[in-house]
Amino acid sequence: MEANQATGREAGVKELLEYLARALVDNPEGVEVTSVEGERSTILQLRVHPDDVGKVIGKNGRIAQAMRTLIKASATREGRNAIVEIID
Amino acid sequence: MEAAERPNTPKSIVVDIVNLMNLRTRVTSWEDDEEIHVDVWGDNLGILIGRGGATLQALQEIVTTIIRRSRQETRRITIDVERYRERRRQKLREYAENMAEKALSTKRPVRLDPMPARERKIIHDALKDIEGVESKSEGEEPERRIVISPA
Repeated sequence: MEANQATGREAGVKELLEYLARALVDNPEGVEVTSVEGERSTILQLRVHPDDVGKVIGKNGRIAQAMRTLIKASATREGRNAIVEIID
Repeated sequence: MEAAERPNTPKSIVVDIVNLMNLRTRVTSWEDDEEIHVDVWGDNLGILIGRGGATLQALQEIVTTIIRRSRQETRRITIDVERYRERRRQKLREYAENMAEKALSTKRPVRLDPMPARERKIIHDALKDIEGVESKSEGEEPERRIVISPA
């Protein structure tokens, strides 16, 4: 986020997902997000340390769903759709 | 990561998230023995509220989960945007009163629109104070709805 302020560049959904995932897991260094930009959609693939998969999914998938909701809201602001895939 | 070194509070996490969403906001917070409350203020924050408050609820759930895992905190964490929750609660109470009146005057059960559990609770609580009606929920989520019947 510091880098964003320094460059004046707007943060993207990738940075948001990285932040959320790192804050939720025990091994933040194991968080990796790759984004594939389509014409109107961004596909975000989230990888975490194997021990942390449950942390980013949550009971009944609630945390994964909450992250998707926030990411989608953020993408909507730019008129885009965003899809979050958790790779395990 | 730097974030791990500074003490995370519900307010600081909300500030980080709204900044990453590129929203211009002001964030305030208060706490007491039972609750830590964070208010987000600004223009055009509908996107942070979402349909039926879904985005706001997602934000609250994530912030609560982050706080609970990183420190001993048992107090309720509530996040509101432009007093949305407060205004919604007021609207639901008025809706409950109007529908109770309808059930009483027609002497027939009234089925309300489906709504999430937290909103049904507000309605049930409001109806407790009204004499002559009882309320129950029927159906399966997310179509679960309240039925108000003359007692």
